[in-house]
Amino acid sequence: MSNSRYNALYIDDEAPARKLLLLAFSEQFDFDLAQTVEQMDLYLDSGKRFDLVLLDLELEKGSGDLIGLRLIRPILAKRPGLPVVVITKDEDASTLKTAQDAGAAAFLLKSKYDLAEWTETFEKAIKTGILNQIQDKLQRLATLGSAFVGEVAPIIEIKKTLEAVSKSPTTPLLIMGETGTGKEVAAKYLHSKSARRIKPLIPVNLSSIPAAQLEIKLFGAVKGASSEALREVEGVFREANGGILLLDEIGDINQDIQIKLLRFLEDRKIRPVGSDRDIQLDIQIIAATHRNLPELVRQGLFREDLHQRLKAVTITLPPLRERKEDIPRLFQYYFGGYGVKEYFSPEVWQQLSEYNWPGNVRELRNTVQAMWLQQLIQEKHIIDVACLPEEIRHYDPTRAYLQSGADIDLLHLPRLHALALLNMQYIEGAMRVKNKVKHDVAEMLGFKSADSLLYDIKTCFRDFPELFEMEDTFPTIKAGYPQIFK
Amino acid sequence: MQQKKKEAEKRLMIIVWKWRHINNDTLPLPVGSDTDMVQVNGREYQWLMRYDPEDIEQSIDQIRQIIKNDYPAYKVQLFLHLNHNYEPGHVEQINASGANGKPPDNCILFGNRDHLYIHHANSPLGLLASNGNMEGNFSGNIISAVEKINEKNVIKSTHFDNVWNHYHHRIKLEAYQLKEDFIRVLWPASLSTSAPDPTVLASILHRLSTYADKIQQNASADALTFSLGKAEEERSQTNFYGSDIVPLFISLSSAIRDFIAKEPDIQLSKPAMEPLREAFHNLLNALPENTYA
Amino acid sequence: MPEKKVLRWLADSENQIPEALRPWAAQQGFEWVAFQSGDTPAPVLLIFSPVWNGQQYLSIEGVWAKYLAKDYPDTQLIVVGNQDTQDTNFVDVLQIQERFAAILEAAPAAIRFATAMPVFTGGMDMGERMKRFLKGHGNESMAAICQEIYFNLSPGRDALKNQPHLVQRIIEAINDPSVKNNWGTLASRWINYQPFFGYLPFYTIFEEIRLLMECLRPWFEDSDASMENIEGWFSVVLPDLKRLESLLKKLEEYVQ
Repeated sequence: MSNSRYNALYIDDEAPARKLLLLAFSEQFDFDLAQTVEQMDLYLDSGKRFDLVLLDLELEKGSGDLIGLRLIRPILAKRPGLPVVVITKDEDASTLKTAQDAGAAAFLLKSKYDLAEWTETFEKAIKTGILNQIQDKLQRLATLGSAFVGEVAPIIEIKKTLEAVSKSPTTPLLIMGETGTGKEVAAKYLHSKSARRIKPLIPVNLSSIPAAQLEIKLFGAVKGASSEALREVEGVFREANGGILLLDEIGDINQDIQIKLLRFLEDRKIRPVGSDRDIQLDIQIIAATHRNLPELVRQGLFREDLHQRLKAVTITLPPLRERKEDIPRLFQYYFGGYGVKEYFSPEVWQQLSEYNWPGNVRELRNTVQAMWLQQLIQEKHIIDVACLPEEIRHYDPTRAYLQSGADIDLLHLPRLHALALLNMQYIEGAMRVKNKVKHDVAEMLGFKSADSLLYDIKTCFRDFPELFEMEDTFPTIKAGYPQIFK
Repeated sequence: MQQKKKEAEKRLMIIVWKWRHINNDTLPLPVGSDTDMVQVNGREYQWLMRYDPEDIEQSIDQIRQIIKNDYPAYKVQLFLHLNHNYEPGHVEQINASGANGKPPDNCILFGNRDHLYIHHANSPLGLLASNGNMEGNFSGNIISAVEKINEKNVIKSTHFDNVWNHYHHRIKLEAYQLKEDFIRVLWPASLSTSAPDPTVLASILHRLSTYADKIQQNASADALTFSLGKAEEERSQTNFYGSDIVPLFISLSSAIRDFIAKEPDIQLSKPAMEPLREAFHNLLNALPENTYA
Repeated sequence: MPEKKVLRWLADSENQIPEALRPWAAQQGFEWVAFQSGDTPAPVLLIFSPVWNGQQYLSIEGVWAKYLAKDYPDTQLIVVGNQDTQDTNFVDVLQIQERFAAILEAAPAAIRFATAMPVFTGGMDMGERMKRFLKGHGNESMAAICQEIYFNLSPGRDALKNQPHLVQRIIEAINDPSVKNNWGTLASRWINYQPFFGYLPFYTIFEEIRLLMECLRPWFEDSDASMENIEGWFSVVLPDLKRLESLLKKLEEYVQ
């Protein structure tokens, strides 16, 4: 018998008479009881996690009708993958078949009650149920669209901006933000609000196309125009006519392309490679980049006039670490279903909350997938720390702070860690200034004596040894007190 | 003897009761109407009519007209509620012969007391309780005579059959028991070499005679009135066998009289008993119902 | 001296016809024996039907026919009834003296009633009554009710064994009215139907059912579960319920 505790929904109009049954299984199961279909629906709609449904087929006593048989499909429709174990006194083979066809995970006869056998059946059903649910979720995730999930103030403002731009179908938009912050998601959001939504949104990743092919890919080519265009190529600009074109990694295009793009923004015209005629097009351009465009302009790598044209309306998507309040919402969205925290151990949630998400929303989505896969592989009832990707599992905010400096907000460190860190930085600075003369350092910092200073450093090392683990942290303190750090 | 399939027969049970004046959420009478038809579950031609007339005097004729015009091929059992101020005189009125409408096959005057079989309190398969939802209490169990099938209210066939049969079979049962009893008493006496007990003989002969008198007193050309039980509330008239059955009752009555007229020693002979038993048998064979509910 | 053919006859205690026929039977060379429960019905069983149970006439021939067809298929069953009907296994009580010999000679064995029905004598059909007793009016069979009660109680044994600290909750659960409600249905149906069963072939089964009901009744009606009797609920009540269920299921084999 496993050590897990499970939540089960027991559906039986005679539930009060089954108290002994529920007590017998209470070592491993917590039960919620539904005596009517209405109560059943309330539980299933509540968001509470259930590992198992026990359904008595003879739901209305004496009716002679196995009403429970008709409930299996609706239960599974509300909670796909949730194992439904039916309990009945009916030994008819056709009842078993009907229950199986409807999706019942197992079929138990009241006349054959046996605690050990039933427990084994329940556990097997739960295990299979978890497997099925994860597979369903992975499938769902693979086909899940990209909703613009976020309720923090900057995201609300961005949405308002996108909605305003959607009403101005010729205005270009520049989206800035780190990789994985959702630039394409934002573009899709605009598209969904726009009158151009009846036409396609065509995303193009400019950095993934070889430079030699980029012009043809974008503007098309007449037949034979070059070795890359043996036949006529329409080009994405013409494909996007009437709609919206998302040019991702705009900072990676060369000057020629920049000129042609500028021309389109000015004249609304393109000229396919090898053609002697311009083509008038109606497209709204969204440009996106993770690069610092003003810096590229300053370096002469990006045209100032193009930048001016593009940046008329600019939004900058914040990195996920700067909008951690949205993390639960994003997990809920990708997880689907109900009560996402019920599927994690508390330690997992803490790790997910502390992690700084360098890959942003994309990394979060991938993490969801990775966790489910690990839950599947490790046959876990709930997602625990062992199911986390290594970088999240071993993430230490203090170490991350020390490694990346100002990128980590001290506020995300535990309080005593943060104070200790600041204290050591303070002492490190003084040690450098006073050239490791301890008496002078103590005096400078207001310690009673050099011994008090020594005591302070020793105590910090004793309580927070991780602060000193890396070689290059607090080198002056370490050099001044080798006896502590040997 | 045959046991007729009850499912195929066309049956209408009319219950005249205060349907609109009792709590009835499940089966309210339609607004503006004093009648409602509820089908028996699974029976195409078996119905319960619920009737709550304002004027009971007019209701008698109305019921006869409904039976004649709308349900001429149906067997009809009619239950009249005492608390509507129906009286035995109304039973006679509704059963009267004549061209105006058609009488029911069986008319029962029932009272609003718990000893009556139609009520849930007396039978696990009753039809009525104090609330019009037709849901009642039998031995602590709440039972309903109505269920919803595909969103439609229907009468449970077991409840309908139970009440129908109870009021249907008692005429036949009386004849059957008398047939069995008289052979049980007289045949051993016939077989025995010792003298029969005169009290016992007198008793059975008295029963036969009373029965014959009852038939004669209540028979007319095409109708037969019987009092079913002791309680006035359960007085019933039976004429639902039609004019082909009434002569069999008359024949039985004659056969009884012939038998009683014989000398005692002749009565104890097979040639005397057989014709009487045959007359019973002819009647019992012609009555399609069982001798039990 | 030729061996007398044994004719066992079954009738209700008020029926004087069988005893009145004794002289005739003796004259025919029959050993005329009143059937007692526990007797083997073979080789010939006469049933004087219907029987009077003090309240009404009960036609028992159908149940006996099915019973004999299953358990004593070689027995000759002859129904003695009060009607002039011609059938290989039936004799009119008024014609018994004239016709019995021929009928006895030709009457097929009871195996015939595995698929056929005997002549119906017009009283309360005990086959139907027994079916209603066992199966109820809906689908509430007696055996199923027994099973339900058993199902409600038996996990308590596991709970007490594996989690003895829950004993108080186990006691409360047993005392929940819903657990005992089913007993009420079982008990009232037994009370209502028992008067009809006196002349049926399952005397030993019905007697054992009666005793089991008597043993179980105090548990369900007279007292609640408590620390003093909790063990008894699982060591006494459960086995009795199981036995009761098996007896009811045995009876169901004779009812179609």
